[in-house]
Amino acid sequence: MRKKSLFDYEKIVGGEQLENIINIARPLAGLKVQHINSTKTGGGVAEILGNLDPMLNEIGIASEWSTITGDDHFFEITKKIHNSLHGRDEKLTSDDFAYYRETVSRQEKVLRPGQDIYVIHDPQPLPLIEKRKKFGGKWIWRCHIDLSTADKKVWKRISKFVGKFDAAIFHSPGYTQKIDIPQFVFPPTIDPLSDKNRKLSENKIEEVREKYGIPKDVFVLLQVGRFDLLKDPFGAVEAFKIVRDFFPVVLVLAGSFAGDDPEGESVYRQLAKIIGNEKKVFLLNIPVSSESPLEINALQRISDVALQMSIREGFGLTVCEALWKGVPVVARKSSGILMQVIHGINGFIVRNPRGAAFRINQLLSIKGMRDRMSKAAREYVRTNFLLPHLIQNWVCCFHAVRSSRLSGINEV
Amino acid sequence: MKKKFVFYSYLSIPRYAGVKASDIGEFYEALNKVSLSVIFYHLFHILYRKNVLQIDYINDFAHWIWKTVGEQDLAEELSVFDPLRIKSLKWAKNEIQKTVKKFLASDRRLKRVSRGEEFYFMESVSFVKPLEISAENEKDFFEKIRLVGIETIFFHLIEARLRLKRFTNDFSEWLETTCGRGDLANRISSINPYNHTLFEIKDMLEKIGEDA
Repeated sequence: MRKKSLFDYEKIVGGEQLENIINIARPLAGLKVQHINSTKTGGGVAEILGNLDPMLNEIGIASEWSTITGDDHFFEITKKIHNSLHGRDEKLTSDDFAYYRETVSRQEKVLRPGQDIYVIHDPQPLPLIEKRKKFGGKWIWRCHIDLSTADKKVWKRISKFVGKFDAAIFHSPGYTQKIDIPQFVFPPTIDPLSDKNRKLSENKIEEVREKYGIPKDVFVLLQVGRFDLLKDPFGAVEAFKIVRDFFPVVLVLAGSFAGDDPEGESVYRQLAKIIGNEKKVFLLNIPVSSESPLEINALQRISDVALQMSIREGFGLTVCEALWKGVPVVARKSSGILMQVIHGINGFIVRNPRGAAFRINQLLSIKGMRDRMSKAAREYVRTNFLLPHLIQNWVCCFHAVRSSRLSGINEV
Repeated sequence: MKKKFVFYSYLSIPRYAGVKASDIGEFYEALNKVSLSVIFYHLFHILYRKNVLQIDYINDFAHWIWKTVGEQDLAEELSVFDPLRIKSLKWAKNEIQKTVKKFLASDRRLKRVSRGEEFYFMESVSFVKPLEISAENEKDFFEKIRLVGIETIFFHLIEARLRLKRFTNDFSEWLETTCGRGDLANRISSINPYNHTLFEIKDMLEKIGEDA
């Protein structure tokens, strides 16, 4: 496949925006940056890095992406840390924290010597900051989690690592914390030219529909996401059960198991049990492969309404993906989603499955509303949440951290 | 020889200013602490974010007070800070403080928002670099404006207010002082950035050029 160029985005965002980014990025040519997270497959962070890394290289930044590893116990602990930072009550012991820290500390070899900037994504690889003295460079923590209701005890332990960084980046102002380092705020984005989001032929869309046996003459509701309690796929089923009596409608729950999420299989089994013999619900485990992004793309394109019933959502890339395809989104109120869904304009914000059912009902009944929201949905993503916007934010962040210029207007 | 107008590239990221508020009382106290660049951010930065869905109040203060706190009266009072009438950021800050102080003097019970719904005071960190695009005279200027992005428009037309510490913009300043075209300068100054997206403003600038 041909390597993508930043100018491939010209038709979507305009050539002037790309020239603007390239001009400001020019003084960063040759800057060495290493991104580190805990999985190359599954979930939003891996997807963001998969898109970001080549584009940073394209504008002259020597960026590379590495991952730490761990055994099942390590990922059980980091999943609990992740959940408790999202506000869920989890039992974490001092031994758990010691195991977490030791596992990461043993992986010093993942750090490439001589980098100008090390970017650590999410809590899993955080303890690598303890190697800072040895490796030098500037260190940034990129947090993809909604910390607005984080468990205070867990955050206190985590913040001991975070406080040693040169800067942190959060998706939303509401996720920032009381820490004595600069905190930047910018959301993630989607890549409109990736297999997950690019235009598909009608044949491809139909092929996927047929593969999964989704009927043609019905409305399609879709929730995409890891099988995760925080994403509440059960809420989507509950909302579906209310609307199925009024419309010819099916619900598609599509997801996969992320490499760093040991809960996935258990949630999948619970869902399968609840759905039972219900023929109108399609529970699709689509393992990560070269085909899976195309399949998710096709499923989003046959949907009439996208659901995102997540209780907590750092951002929720799947919401952005659906909006980009012109699909209105009905989503539970969470900080990440509030950045994307403007109530009554490109979708609806709800509090519970019954509220979701009401809004689905409205959208399926009123075609004019669906069409209006569809148009607004795509335009909102086009002007705010596409890969070139992410590149420009990282360019600013690298300038700021490298030169410690943290306020005002700076000529580069 | 006339001084050339040099167009700049512009990029910016928001940074948390380290202060947040859970009710109007805390909001007032925080206002007293924050810098003018924070005031600028909350009055104008939404325009840089290119939010095309202009259904709510544009300035962040009014938006939060209405949407989250639920004090519509105060939100309306704060929503009318017309960017064309703001004399300076210092003046704007004083006016906002006075308005909030008056609200607090009414001695009503303050509504507190939930954790995660607080108002976070932000400022932006911006980076600029001259483009290889410049204009020699007004005709040239309006031709070149077609070549620049909306980030450049934001920098010269809106961020200039922060930089120049008065309510003019780079385009009007240059057209008036270098080209002697006060008429064009005034037309540009009268574009209200609250009522248009940056894409629309760019179109309006091009139209002014066609008429000139």
